[in-house]
Amino acid sequence: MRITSLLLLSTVGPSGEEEEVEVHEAISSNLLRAVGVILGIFGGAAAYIHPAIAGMVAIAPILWGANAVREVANYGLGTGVPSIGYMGLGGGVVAAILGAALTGVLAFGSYVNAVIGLAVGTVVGAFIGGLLGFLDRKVIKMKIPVMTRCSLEIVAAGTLALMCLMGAVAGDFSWPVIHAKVIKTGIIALLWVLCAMSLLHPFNACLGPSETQERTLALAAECGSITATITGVVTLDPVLIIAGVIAWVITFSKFWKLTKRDAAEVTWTGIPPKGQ
Amino acid sequence: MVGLAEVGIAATMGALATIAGAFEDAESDVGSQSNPNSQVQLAPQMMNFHRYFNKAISGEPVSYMMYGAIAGTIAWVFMTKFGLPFLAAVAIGVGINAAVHMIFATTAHLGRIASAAEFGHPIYLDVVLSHLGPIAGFGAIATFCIVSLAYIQWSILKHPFPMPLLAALWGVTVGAIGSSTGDVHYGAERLYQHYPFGCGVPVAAHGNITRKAETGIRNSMDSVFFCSKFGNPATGLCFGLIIFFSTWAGLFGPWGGVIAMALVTLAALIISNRIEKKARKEYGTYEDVSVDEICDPI
Repeated sequence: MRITSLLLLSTVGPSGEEEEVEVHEAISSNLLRAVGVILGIFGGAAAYIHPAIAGMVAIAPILWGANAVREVANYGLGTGVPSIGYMGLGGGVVAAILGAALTGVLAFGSYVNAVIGLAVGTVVGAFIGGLLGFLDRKVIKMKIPVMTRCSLEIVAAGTLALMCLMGAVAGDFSWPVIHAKVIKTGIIALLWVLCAMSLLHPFNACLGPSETQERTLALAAECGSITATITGVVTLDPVLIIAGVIAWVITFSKFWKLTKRDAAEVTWTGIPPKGQ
Repeated sequence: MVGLAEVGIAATMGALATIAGAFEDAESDVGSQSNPNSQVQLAPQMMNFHRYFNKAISGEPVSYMMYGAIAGTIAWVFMTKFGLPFLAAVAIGVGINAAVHMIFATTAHLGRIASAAEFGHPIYLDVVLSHLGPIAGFGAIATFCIVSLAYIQWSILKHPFPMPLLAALWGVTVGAIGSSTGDVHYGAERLYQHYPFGCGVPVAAHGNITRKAETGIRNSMDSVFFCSKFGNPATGLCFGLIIFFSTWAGLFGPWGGVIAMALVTLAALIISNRIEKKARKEYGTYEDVSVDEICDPI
């Protein structure tokens, strides 16, 4: 389903005042938020049924986070696009470990424990993100009105994606296995960087005046598929590898189609003309 | 008394670091990830259409953290789960990472150029295909060295950190060194031939890239050809020396490391100064070439 909506954003003019601009959205941000949160929490907690479920649903929060990066980076962050991705996962890894550790003290049964751990982790991530965004606006005095909200969303989405992958590697979202299989082994470093790249790469790669939300999100899904596939390779889980590769083929061909649609010209070779 | 084994390990680590640094910088030059990054990205809006590869994969430290983490973790999994020897395991890790690396490079280039559609910049597919080989090849050599360093630390030196984490940290380190050191030799001398010695550019001239090579149109392969003569080895030397100094301090005591560091730094300063003076004296300025021929102004 495609919802076309218009989102009113404000931007900063050269003189420093905030200006309102219209940003076109092919897919509603609210839909991405809802799908990201619901699939991330309930799918991530289902890691004990099969790790591939948690690995694949990580794509949903990645889409949500990449869309939030797109919203805030539209203010001309430039080289700050990668930085905001690292910031998202820097706060996210703290919240994710806290969410996972929480499952070690709860006693409601495996699935409910995991849901509570994932939900609390996401909320803590949102709090850290909100605080970082607030400090950006009030202390560093960045004139980006959506900074607080987007920073909150980016850290929350990064936390949730990271927790889903932690569940996929451990095979269950519960503290003893996560500590033994994800943190002690150092695999958390791989998951951290894969999540950070999945969040920041889509908009960073599509940066430019002719960027479209559809293409950026197709690339986010493609990055999420690579993340899922690599997680499958690391855990030697054939189901996750096959599902990840199939998802990658679908999303990459979608990205390629949208690239052909959006580009000025796609040609085999040629001498670049002089710009007019 | 320092044993022969310790000296061997120190020498191997220094050599691996030197190779990693040199090839990391070469790889970043092929895709203009660090050199001449902002120029290539700004060129379309300055109406300079080009055949450079635009590899906008984050900053080098984090992209190399990803390559190191992917290859290191996969190699570690295959060693511990299947008992594969290190070289076989690292070959699998580096191979899978090379595929991921090429995918990220392709999507970055296609995405950035497609987003320059407003200026009418075309996407040339032969640019993508011809640059992917060197990107994956140089990247694979650098990643192999990173994972080998992590393996030596983890298995021989018994570092308390697990191998995937060490590989990720070595990736960040080599990316940071390549990003900061390689940039000094970023081919600016080639790109800005309309300046007397081709040195730094004012902000107003950003994106005003020189499109013509000796024959035909310039591309990223020309940048790496130029940088591989001095910039890439200098980056490798920088990273290798950092490892050498830290291992020397361990082998010969802290003062031995400090004295060696001071001597080498002094020598590097003198050599750099001599090279630049000699080059300026011997080759002179670009003034005998007309501006229109070289900088292809708008």
